[in-house]
Parts: sequence; C-alpha cells; structure tokens
Amino acid sequence: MNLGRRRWLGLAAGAAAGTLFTPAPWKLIGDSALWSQNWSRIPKLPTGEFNVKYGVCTLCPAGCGIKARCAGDQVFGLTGVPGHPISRGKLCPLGVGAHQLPYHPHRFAGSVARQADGRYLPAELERVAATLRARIASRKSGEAVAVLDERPGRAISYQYRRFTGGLEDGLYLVPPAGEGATLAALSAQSERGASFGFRIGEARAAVSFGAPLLDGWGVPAEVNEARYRSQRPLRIIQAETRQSPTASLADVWLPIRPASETALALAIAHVLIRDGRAPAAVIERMSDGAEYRELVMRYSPEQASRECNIPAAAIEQAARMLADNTPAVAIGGGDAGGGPAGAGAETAIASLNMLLGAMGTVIVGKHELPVPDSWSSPPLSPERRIDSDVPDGSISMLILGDSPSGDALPWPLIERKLAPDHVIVSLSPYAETAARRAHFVIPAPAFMESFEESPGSAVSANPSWAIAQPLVRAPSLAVHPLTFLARLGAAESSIEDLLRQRLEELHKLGKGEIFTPAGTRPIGEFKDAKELWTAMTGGGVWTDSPVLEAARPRRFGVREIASAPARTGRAEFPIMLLPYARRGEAGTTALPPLMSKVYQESRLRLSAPLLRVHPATAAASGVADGASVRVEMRGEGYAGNIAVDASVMPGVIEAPAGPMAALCVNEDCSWRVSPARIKRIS
Amino acid sequence: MGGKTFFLAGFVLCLGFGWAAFPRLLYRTAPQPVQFSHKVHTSSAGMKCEDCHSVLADGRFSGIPAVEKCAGCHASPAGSTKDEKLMVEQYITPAKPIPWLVYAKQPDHVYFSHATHVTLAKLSCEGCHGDHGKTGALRRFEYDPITGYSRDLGEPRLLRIGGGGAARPMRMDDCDACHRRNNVQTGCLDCHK
Repeated sequence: MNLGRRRWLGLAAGAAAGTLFTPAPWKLIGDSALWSQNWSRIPKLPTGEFNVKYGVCTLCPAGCGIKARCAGDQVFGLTGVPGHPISRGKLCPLGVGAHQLPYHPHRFAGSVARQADGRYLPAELERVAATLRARIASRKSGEAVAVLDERPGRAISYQYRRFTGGLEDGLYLVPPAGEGATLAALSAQSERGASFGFRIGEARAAVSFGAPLLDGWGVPAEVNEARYRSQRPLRIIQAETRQSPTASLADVWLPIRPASETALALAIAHVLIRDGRAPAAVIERMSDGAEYRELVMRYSPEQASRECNIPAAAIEQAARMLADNTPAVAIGGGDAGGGPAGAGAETAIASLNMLLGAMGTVIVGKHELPVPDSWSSPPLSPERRIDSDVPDGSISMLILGDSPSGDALPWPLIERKLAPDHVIVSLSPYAETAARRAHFVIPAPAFMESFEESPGSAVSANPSWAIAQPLVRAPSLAVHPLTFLARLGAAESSIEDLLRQRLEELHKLGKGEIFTPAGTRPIGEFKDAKELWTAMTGGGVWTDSPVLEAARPRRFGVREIASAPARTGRAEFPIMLLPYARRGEAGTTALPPLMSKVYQESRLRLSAPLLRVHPATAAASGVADGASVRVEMRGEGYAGNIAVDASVMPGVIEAPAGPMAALCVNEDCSWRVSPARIKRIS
Repeated sequence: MGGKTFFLAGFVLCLGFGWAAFPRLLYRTAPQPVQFSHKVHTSSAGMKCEDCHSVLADGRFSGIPAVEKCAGCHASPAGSTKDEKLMVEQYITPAKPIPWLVYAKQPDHVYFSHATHVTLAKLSCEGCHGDHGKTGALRRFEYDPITGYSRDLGEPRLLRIGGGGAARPMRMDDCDACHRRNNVQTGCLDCHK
C-alpha cells in the first residue's frame, strides 16, 4: 500500500477531526488553565491542622466575638461566636474579611521616613527615636507634643496619657465625639461631667438625628434586638437629609434640610411642652428651665417646618409618636462620614431626652473600668478633643496612634492644629490618609498580630471588656507602640503585662460575669487572675449590669443651643455638601483587601468619589451625569464624578467619605454640612 | 483506498483513543489509607447515616467522623481483617486522624456548606454523592495530576467507563447551573470567602 502524502494528510485531518469530538483537547485546555493557577512555582500558603481559636474584633468599639478558623497558624476565616453577649453570633462585613488585613497591599514593611519628594525610605527605629527625642528636648515653651488616640480607654491609651503627662505641654488628644456626641453634650450639662451610656433595649421609641441606628451604630446586636423583638419593638423616627439605610428601614423618615437638626429638636420639644406631654417638674428643676421654655415656644412646628422643609403635621405626628411611646430617646452624632452636628445641635438633641423620660431609664450612668493605681504615675494627661480643646497652630510634634476609630477624621482638621515647623509620626500599620502625611511611620502590629483589648462601646451603658489574643505572628519589623514610647523615654512595659494588670483589677472588683464559648460564669468563681486570663484569652468577655443611678443634667444648655452657627447656602457656595460613610470604613481605617476587591470590581480601578446630586442641582450647576467636577468650599476642594440621582435632595451633594476620601472642614471644625459649589473640570 | 478512507481511519482511531485511552492515561489512582464498608456499618452494625454525618447544633456539618467516634466501637479490632488491624493500630490507638482521600474535596478557595444544602435546601445525599453510602468497599480514588483535583469534581461520569463516581460534577459552572435551575441567587462571596 502506497502511503502517499495525500493519504497521510487525510489520516492527520481525520485524526484532528476525531480528536475534536473527544473530551481530550477540551479537558487539557481546562486543566492547563487550572495548572497555571496551581503550578509548583506559585507560592503556597503554609498549612497545618485545622483548628479554631476565639477572640474579639478590635476594628470598632463594639467588640464583637470572633471565631477564627485556622490551618496551623494561618487564619483563613472569621465568623461570629454563637451566644456571645455583645454580638449574639453576628459579625459585620468588615469583620468577616478582617483576617486579610495583615496582608493589606498598603501595609508598611518597616519603619520609614518620608522624603521631600513623597517617597518613603527605610529608617532605623533607634535613629528616628533619637531625632524625636532631640526634637522634644529642644522645643520652645508652648510648643506641644501630642498623641492622638482614636480609641481611648485601652491600656495603651493610659500609656499615651502617662507619656504626655510626663512632658511639659504634653497633650493627649481624642477625635471628635462621633457616636457619643449626644452623651458628651449631656455630660457637659451635668455636674462634674458625669458619664452616660444608652440602654437602647429599654427604649420604646427613638428619634435619630442622622445616627445610623440600623447600620452599625453602637453595639449593632443590641439595637437590632430592640428593633426586631416581638414585644413592643423599638420604633424609629429618622431625621436625616439623605435616604440612608436607616432612613429606609425606619418607621418614619423625616427628610430634613441639612443643618436643621436644632430647629426640629426644639419643635418636638415645643409640641411636648405645649400639649402637656413633658414633665413640668423636670423643666422646673433645671437651672435654665424658664429660658429653655421661652426658646422652645418660639419654635412652633410651623416655624420649624420652614427651616426643616418638612410639613408641620409631620413634626406634630413625630412628637406625638414619641410621647405615646415613652421612654423614648433622642440620638444625635451623625454617621461615620459626617461627624457630629455641632455643639448647639447636639445640646438641643440631648435636652430632648429630659422631656422624653430617657434619663435614668434609657440613658444611665456608665462604668469606668478599673485600672491599676500605678498607671496614674506620672499624672495622666487629661483627655482633650482635637476639634474643640486645642488651639490652632499649637502642636509641634504629633504622634498619630496605632488604632483607627473607623469614623472620618478630616486631615484639614488635624492640619490646622499643627505649628508651622511640625513633625508628624504615625504608628499606623497602613499607608492610610493620615500616615501618608507623616514624616516618620513606625508601623504597629496589624489586627490579630498582638494582644489587643476591647474596652466596650463608647455609647452603650452595658459595660464589657475583652482581650484579643494574637492569632497571627507579627512581622519582625513591626514595632509595638509601647516599644516606641519606651524609646522616647516612657517606662518599658509589654502589652501582655498591662492587660494582666488590668485583669487583676477586674478580678479584685469581683463583679460581673465572664462569657466564654464553653459557658458563662460569675467572675467570683475564678479562683485567681491566672485562671481568668486563660478564660479571657480563649474568647472570653467580661460583662456587668449598668449603673442605673447617675448624676442628672442640671441645665438644658440654652446658651449653647442659641449660639449654634447657622449653616445656610450663600451666593457663592449655594449647595450643601454632605459627606457620609459606613461605620468602620472611614478615616484612618484600612479595609480588608477582599472588600477593596469587591468595591473595585464595579469600577475596575481606584477612582474619584461619585458625588450624587439631584437633576435640578446638576442642571443649575451646568453638569451632566458622569461629568468630572471639582467641589469647592472656601478655597478648599476636591475632585469627583457626578452621579445624577432623583432621590437626592435638591441643593445637596451626597459625598462618600471612605478610607482615602478628602474632606473639608468648616471654621468651627465641623464637616457634617458645608456650603459648597460645583465646578466642571474641562 | 483513497484519502477519504484514511480520513475516516484517523477519525475513528482518535475518537477511540480520546474516549477510551485518554482517561486511563490522564488520571492517576491513589490508595485509601484503610478500606471501609458503608454497607457493613449500615446493615450489620445497624447504624444510620446521621450517626457519622450530621449537622451539629451550631450549624456545622460533621462530614468525616473523628477517630474518637470510630474508637467508640473500634477501640480494639472488631474483626480479623488486615484493614481493621491497621486502622486500630495506626490511627485509633494513637488518636491520629485518618488521612482519607476525599472524593468530593473542593479546592481551598471554595467554601461549601453542607448545612445549607442539606438542611435548608433539603437536597438528598445521593443527589451529589451517588450510591457511595451503600457500597461495600471504597472505590479507587482518582485524581488529575495536572490540576491535583479529585476526578469526582469534574468528570464523575463522562470519562469513566464502567466505574462508579459521584452523581453529578461539582465544578463552579455546575453549582451555578443548579442554583439557576432552582432560582437561588448567588454572589461571589457565597462560596469564595
């Protein structure tokens, strides 16, 4: 048989055609694709025996319990802890992805110094510390050295306070009040600055002035339990310009004009007093009761209706709903991106609580967690708020603390407090908004890499305290803030020792109970602090009943309410800029890469913020959907892209304030509402 | 014999090779650490499936029982077979987990909840695992050396001539298709956490 060329070609063509009708080529193509993802040169995560460890999430003040699923020493999944007294087995999206934070792409690999051109170069800790020590020693009188601690109340916070307390002109700074703004106002209205907390489960109704009650506020499980209980569920009136998730889920949404919270709070008080639904004895007891009544009587629902741009009937209805469902509570503080409403508005909101029967029922005293006596030497620096208690241009050295609050912290607010020739040191593990401005970065261990603690929510009256054990080994170049403070001259100590000392104080106190995944036991049943330490580092959390008896406010704060600055549009800045964010995702926070990936997949790359405006606002500003614009306010501003959305209130810009967002602040250091204008970028 | 005949010859040869020989050449087999009979346990021993494979009170699914569970009956050899002796000596007595080769093991980046599928969606075990629970001996564990994945994930039936295997493939497309058929919404994070 002659196998000529033609026949060979026929055989080969037949073989090729036949092969196409078998699984072989398709299977090999699929396998090659999978092989390319799995081949031996691709780094493999170290693995080991599967095990479960328990801890506490320290990414926000709520302190939810976490169950870490691990392969050897590698955490590969976080979930809630069933029956946990704080989180009731739940975990938010931030917590679920938080095991990825140690591998964040913007993490610092070691100590760095920023160069004039913005580049970072490695810097030895000893050399940075020597530079800073010399700087502290050579500064002039009046030049302050400050530590900004976004998460006060922790053991490390006391060490910051000891460090600044030992320096002349040392300042211990905390961020603006945020969620606790209403409680801070109540504290200011009380004698000796009493400390308050909410027991939201005791309320039958709540009027929220922009607080994201159903979107991560306070201790989310506490609020959700109250809202969705079968008997007398918490009724919510949401007074907010933006149709936020809480506004969408509330019983009543009052879409008020920006910065009209004071008028609405006073009008609700007007209806309560006019209709005899407010206890007269409370008003008489206050030192400025008569002035408050006079002020409130000027704010009829009709008057407030014009300021708030909602019907007077809606205000009357809201006031009646609150009066019919006492004890009710009024909550301000705004969302994580917008910040507090300002002292005047927060005082008006806080005063409403005295008429709604909230004091002593929903709002009660707050525990101070015990600390060892030795922590008070040298004397602790008093806590000062960076927005209200520090003069502009007074800080010559600023140390930005190790842990973010998750709330927005506008850089212009920090910047205006700095002296012209200043030095900034950041202890953040990540190159976030503030760390990018620092001259030196001494990166602290990331989430899960060292002992941490959760001293409980700033707004919940139910006290709690938990220790998070390290679940992942910290990189060798991470520097714990205590080590850094020791290099600056503070006493050397380890975080584990400090937490053990604090736990010993708690054991001595002998009150409350300890929850562990194995069960709940009274603290008195633990024979010593050592046994308690084992329970606490195994996912334990200490809880106790709240202090029901507390000092009551002595005044309504008419002076503060009356002096609140008006925030209205002007001819050159006719639009109101409203920043917003989800809790835990703003300010100096780093988001888990998984969340960043999901966010970016919708837009494929990091981009300018999407600024949502009403069609009428867009038309008046001469911009269309998708236009690149610059939002300007008093010389400051930032770029963004317009998204035209009919659900936005006319005359308003809704601007997301995520982790890397630029934010502008007003003269009074607030940034919740700012007069602005839109300029198209050609 | 013209070119057409050679074309057909090549076609048939490769067709036969691709369907019959290729799978045998591609897949490798690996022995299970010990032999196991589901049939003996569910018939002679009178056990139920849930005794070893159950959804726990906290929602987790206990797939393969721990050796402590086996030790309840097999603290000492319960028979005279070589596998029984091996299991007791090498795994149960030193309390060492038995390194079973899992036919339906998903890659590490895939999260699959038995609890959701069995408790909530009421899927039967046989719907995915076929008659595995009734077999008298463990079948050969086959894997693809290129990908490292078990054969049951991709081609439980298609390339297996005369063998057992799972009732349906378990690739991402297969999960997606089943969810679509049953009108169940899915997102990336449901399985890739």
